[in-house]
Amino acid sequence: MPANDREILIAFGKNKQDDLATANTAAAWCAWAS
Amino acid sequence: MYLRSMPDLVQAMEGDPENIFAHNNTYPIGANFDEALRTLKSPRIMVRYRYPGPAAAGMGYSHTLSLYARPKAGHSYEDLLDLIINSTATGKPIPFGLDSFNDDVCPAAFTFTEPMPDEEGTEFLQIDLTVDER
Repeated sequence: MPANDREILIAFGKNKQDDLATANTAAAWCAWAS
Repeated sequence: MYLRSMPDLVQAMEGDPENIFAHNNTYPIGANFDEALRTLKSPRIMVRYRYPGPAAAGMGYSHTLSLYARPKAGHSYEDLLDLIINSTATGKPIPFGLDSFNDDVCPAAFTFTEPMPDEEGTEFLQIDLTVDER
């Protein structure tokens, strides 16, 4: 399994709500850093 | 808005703060990132949120960000790394790697990898930053 696919499994939850929360977290952190 | 607030770093990005940008994961995750990394121009810094995970005992979540950086012509990776690590952003008294998102998180690890060309000859500096929620 490619490394990026492994990250998907780690980063994203098992339902849409989890996915959305993770996406919001990701956006917030990226906004902070960049 | 941190790296974009570092005047010396922006200057090293040909003076354009938009050369420092976030990569947004979209489905299928991985595919668009691979393409973005493979076609990353120079100079650019791409920021990617990689994954949340459990932090040390007694702490909340841990968050890992990666920066993928390519210097401009005439600049070395060492120059770029020095700017990222040691520059301070406008209005911020401490360097990037030591700052925190807010009072509730603290940096846990700051590592970088030796730039190596991939199979297609694209070379970049990767810097990983992990922060833990308190």
